[in-house]
Amino acid sequence: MNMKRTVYLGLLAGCLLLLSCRKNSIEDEPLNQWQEDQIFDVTDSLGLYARNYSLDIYARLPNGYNRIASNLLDAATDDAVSSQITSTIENFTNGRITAFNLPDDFWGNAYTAIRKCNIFMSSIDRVPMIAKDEKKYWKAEVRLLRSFFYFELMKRHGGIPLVGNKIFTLEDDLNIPRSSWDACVQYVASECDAVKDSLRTDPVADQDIGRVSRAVAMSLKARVLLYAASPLNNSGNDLSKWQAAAAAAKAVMDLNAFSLAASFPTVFTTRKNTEVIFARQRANTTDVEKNNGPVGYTGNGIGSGFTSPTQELADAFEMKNGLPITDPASGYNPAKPYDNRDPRFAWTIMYNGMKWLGRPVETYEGGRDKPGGVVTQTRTGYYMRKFMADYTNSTAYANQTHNFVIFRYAETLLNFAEAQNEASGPDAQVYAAVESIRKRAGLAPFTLKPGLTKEQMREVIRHERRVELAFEEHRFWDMRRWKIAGKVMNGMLHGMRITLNPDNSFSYQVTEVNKVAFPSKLYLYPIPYAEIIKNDKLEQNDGWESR
Amino acid sequence: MANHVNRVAGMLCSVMMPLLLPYTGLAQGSSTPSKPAKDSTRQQERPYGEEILYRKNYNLLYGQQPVAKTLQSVAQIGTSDLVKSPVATISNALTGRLPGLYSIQGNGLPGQDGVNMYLRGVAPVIIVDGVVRPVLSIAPEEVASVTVLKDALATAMLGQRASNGAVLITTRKGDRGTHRISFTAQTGIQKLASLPKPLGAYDYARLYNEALANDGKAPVYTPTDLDLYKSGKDPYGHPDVRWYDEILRKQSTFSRYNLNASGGGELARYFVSLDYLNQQGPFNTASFNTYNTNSDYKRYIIRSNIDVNVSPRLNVSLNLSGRIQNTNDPGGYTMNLYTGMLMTPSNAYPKLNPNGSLGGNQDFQSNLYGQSVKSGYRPGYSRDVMADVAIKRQLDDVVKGLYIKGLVSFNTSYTESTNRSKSFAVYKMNIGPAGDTTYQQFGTDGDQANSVGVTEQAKNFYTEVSLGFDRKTGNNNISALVMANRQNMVYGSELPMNFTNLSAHVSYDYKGKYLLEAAASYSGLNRYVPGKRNGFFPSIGIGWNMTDEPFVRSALPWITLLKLRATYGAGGNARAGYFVYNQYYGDSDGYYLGSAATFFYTTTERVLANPGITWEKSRKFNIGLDAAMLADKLGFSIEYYNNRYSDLIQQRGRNSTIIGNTYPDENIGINRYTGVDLQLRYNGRVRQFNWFASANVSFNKGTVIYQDEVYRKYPWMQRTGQNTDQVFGYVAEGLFQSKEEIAGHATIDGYTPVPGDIKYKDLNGDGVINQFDQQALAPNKPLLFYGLNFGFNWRGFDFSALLQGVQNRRFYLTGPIEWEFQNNGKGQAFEHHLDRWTPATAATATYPRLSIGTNPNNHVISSFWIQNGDYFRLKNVELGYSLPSSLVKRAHINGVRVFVNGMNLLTSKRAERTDPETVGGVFPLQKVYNAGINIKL
Repeated sequence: MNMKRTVYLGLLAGCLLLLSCRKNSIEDEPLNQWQEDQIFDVTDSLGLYARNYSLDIYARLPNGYNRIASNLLDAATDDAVSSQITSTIENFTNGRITAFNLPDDFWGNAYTAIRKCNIFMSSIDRVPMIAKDEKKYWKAEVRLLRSFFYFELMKRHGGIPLVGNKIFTLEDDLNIPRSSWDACVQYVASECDAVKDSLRTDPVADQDIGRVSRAVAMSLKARVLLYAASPLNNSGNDLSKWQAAAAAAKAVMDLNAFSLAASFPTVFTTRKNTEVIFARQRANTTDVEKNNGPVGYTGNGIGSGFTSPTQELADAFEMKNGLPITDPASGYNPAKPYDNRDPRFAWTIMYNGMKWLGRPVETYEGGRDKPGGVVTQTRTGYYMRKFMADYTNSTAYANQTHNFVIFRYAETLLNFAEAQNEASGPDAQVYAAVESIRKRAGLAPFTLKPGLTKEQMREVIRHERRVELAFEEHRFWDMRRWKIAGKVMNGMLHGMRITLNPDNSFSYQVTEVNKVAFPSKLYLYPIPYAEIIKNDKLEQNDGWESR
Repeated sequence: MANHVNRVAGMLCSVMMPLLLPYTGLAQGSSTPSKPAKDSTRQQERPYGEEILYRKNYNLLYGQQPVAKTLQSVAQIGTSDLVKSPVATISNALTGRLPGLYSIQGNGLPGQDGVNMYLRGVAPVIIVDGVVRPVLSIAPEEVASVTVLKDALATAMLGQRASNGAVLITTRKGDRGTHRISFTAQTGIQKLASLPKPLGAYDYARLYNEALANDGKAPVYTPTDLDLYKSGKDPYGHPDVRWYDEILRKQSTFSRYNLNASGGGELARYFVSLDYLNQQGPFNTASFNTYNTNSDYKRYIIRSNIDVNVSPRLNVSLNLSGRIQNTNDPGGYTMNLYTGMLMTPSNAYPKLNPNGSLGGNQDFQSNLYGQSVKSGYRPGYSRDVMADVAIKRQLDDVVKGLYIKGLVSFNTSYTESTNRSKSFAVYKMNIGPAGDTTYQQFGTDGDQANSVGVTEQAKNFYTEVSLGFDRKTGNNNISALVMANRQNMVYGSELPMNFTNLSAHVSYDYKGKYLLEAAASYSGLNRYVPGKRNGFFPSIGIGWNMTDEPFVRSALPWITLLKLRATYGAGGNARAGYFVYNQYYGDSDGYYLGSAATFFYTTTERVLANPGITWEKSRKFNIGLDAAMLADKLGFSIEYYNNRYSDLIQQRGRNSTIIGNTYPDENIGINRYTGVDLQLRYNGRVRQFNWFASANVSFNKGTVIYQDEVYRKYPWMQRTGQNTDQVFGYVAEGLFQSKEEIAGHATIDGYTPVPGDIKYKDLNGDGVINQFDQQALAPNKPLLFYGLNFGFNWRGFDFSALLQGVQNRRFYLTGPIEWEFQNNGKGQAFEHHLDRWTPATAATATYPRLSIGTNPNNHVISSFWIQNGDYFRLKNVELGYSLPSSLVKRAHINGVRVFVNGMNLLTSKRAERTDPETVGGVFPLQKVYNAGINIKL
């Protein structure tokens, strides 16, 4: 009996042992997932993990190609409409934007990026990098990027909450009020000044293309000050703001590190050129062509044709002789509307008869690129051509550079011209800046009429900005800061209805394609309502749904 | 087919080996008494009065209890009810049969017909033979009982998995003194219960033009186009394809074969079962393919449950089960094909062009016919093995009534998917001005892929040691159990999830009248911050069995059972995530730098860590009354419960994005579920006519007590205090009939309504319809669900029917199956759109005026699109006939029974355009008409 007892107690003990025995053949917590001390590693003398962390902030930079429901932001301006029968981009033009419904909500994206910047700046000093300069550059780049993301919010909403270097935890009070517009401008401008001397000088080495350099900081400052001086934010037309904007743009020019590229289309299809100051770097793709190209091709040449440039934009392009098409002396022929135009016209807009992928584009009614029926196709008789490589004689699209340009020298010149004209009138520097762009465009003659008034020069510059920077996410903001959206976005936008005649000639008739309106409250976006209700101190912009 | 035979034969061998082994020891062993397995004996027969087992035992979490002594809130059904349903997943056979268990079938695909189960409002854990494992695709013949464990006491020993209750599946054991072989073959046909009714091409085009005109846009179809659609004279240029006819079979087959043998003696008992199920997919196949492209499902299950008395006091049991499932998909995937079929307009493109190529165009680059038979196929394979070994030793030689038990359970499952799909080109036929035909190609004809990938791997290793004590001294009955168990579960490459429990259970009664029961668990999980991984979860129950009290005896002599009981206790529910207490970083999108576009990996902070993560908590109260009377002919049971759940995992409401990262899930919410479960049964007999009728009725109401709600401008926007499944939206007030009516009414921001648009109530009176005008749309009533089961047997005939239904249920019907011309105008339109508003039909219209794409006024969440989800189904019906035993005995057969049965045969519902369960674009549930034969040897 005793023997048996012993056996059973032994059995029991054995079982309990089996249960309690902890096999430590594998880890207790997942070690394949990094924690902070592996990203900012006190033994990483090359800073590789920290570098990868910092580059993720770059990856948050906006990519403007077809980013809102497959449409460019410019489809919410008078330059283009969406080819889709219904698209949320139309909310911008039909008055359907509300604090509940904002297709271009950048709020979360910006604060996510800002947090990443703050984490990087607070932890990078732990990493014992051998390359001290490199570390200094990275810190400055990240600090500048933080301001860039603030400005993305500022141009949308006006003043926004500034969070400084704070990295929030779950316990922190996030009831943070908005700073004023002026305070935000002051902050971003001073940040640009503070970091610029810690950044790489321009031009940067080949392997650093795409990084924030000194000129990027100075360009951001120039743009911020230009926006701050503009009518939307400068109701008293304080000339000192224009002067500051002009000086900031001039400072970029005075670097003498950039110049206009010889060929306009190559600016968008090369990674290294003299004109691009900063671009959102992307892989080589065909997405711009596939999303926006004409719909009538086959195989690898099929496009979805999402973007339909308007007749308003088409008409904005001058004749090659530099005269607007409304000028009787321009030589414009309504029966052959696309002949002898500003060369940028054919680099920006694809029109009926233009050769593409080995045949003429057919945007006449019933043509292969405007077949009718329910298939998505151009609504205006035009497709977007800008940003694409030269596929005139190719048979299919092929991967190529599609960086999205954020700052380029042409904008710097136009920023300078605009601010200088406002600050001190159309002086020789203003003429020189604008004419250099027209010269590069290939206008002959490229010179402007001498003796323009300040107001005439203002219109010349605004016009030049529209055609030079079309589809680059400038028009959308420019028509706001100039406070002209209420005028240009009120009424009908137009397209061209083209008919093929029996004798193979074409007839052209301007038609209405989209009714647009611009409520004045839309000069500033609403703060997303979802944020308003989570932050007691967040005040809504005028006219939008508030608490 | 040859493969299948081989596989079955292989399985048979592997079953028979362990089966034969115990018999070798049979002769040497001495006969010793062991606990009789009464249950199984009963379930082999088909007696009446089985559902309420007043004189039987409940199969509870770690043991059995006589019904008369049970304080826990449980309900149970047995094999005979389960086998009536021709289904692949056993949960589908539970609907309407168990009080407190609410289920909705969200998918009707072959092999995926399992239901979503809610036990008193929350999703229960699935336990098979005492081990947590989600095995629901199981043959009903293998199952002795399915028990739902509803209150705190019933699941107390589960600790961190106790909160939500449990569905306990107990597999069958062999019966002493019998040897039985039972073979069942059944086969039937299945039909999709409901499909949306699409418009033909002519109506589609006609309404499309109307919708464009409504939106102020030019028509896209000319009168010539419309004529051609109407006449069908141009099937290539103006196609009218009935995709349902092209893609779907009229019906598909269901068949299942089961062979099981059970029996044994005093020394050893066995139950072995072999099951094969073949459920055909819904699609047409093509003879030119040498392979199958239909979504067929085949399942093979073997089970062998062996109990051996090794010595008088030592019992060893071995449960082995293996399952193989073969699935198949067309190369373009079943659901892509199915939803594509629902959403493609009839005139989108021709099935084939005149030259035999697949039709298509820029907007439709994937031809449905191509997707179904020209896109290759994707076979899937999964295998599961479950092995449980238990040893139980009576320690009466140490202390009388003491025993020790050990259990080891090993479970593994593996799923792989083979990709033999291929791409195909589609062509748009263009006819040029000169009448020349050209074809515009979209996509390419690709080579067939051939790759295999493991889609799921799971391991589950469970060990348990328990020490128990059962003793009766005089009028005192005591039973106690102390248990230590550990479950180690591994999914894919994740680190193991380890549950550890130390638990105890004590029940005591005095003369079977005064009942006391307590259970507790000290339960841990390795997913919380070290040091905060264990919780303590106690429960208690008391009861008074009045049946034998003298005053009851004398006053109510016809009462055979009268028991009052109450339980209260705490439970946990582990929803800890994957080591979320650490802040992790991970790979992100990557970035390119330099003139050479060098790619760099990038790293980002993952979701914010939550070091405070802990288990969800429950406090559950249950009170019940059980009664039987009139010689057990009439019985009922009524229960009330009040369950409070707290620390529910949710993201905080004030999750301001200024923090710069995603908030983690935190222990925040509080919900309360209250309700009543009622069960009633009567068994009658008139000479040879035996009949029964039973009903179960359940009320369940879930209320949000707390959810860290954000600022709400108006009281009607508050979520707190509403039902947990409440829906919010605009309040529709019919359709605008005239411009004058619109002029005086609030409208959606930036939208100018036209007559025929939905009119909404302006709750805050600000003249604008926006989020401030969204309120709770469903009444805050308790969900009411019920099952009515009745049947009879008479001279060899037997019949039973289950009616099942739900009340106070609401759901939204929205999206591309309900709304017209969705997907930017490329979507389908349906027959109910013919009842749209037009000036001529203004008085009778039941649908708003048509528009293209998503209309900002009409196609938004509002009470207009809320459907009443109430329904009442003939869920299951069976008619059988057993050949007279005098006849079959001559052939040395114990019994032959033929039967016909069906599922979902008739439905009475409030929602017109959809099945009430499979709503929207999901694969609809199926009606099954089935017939079979059962032979007992």
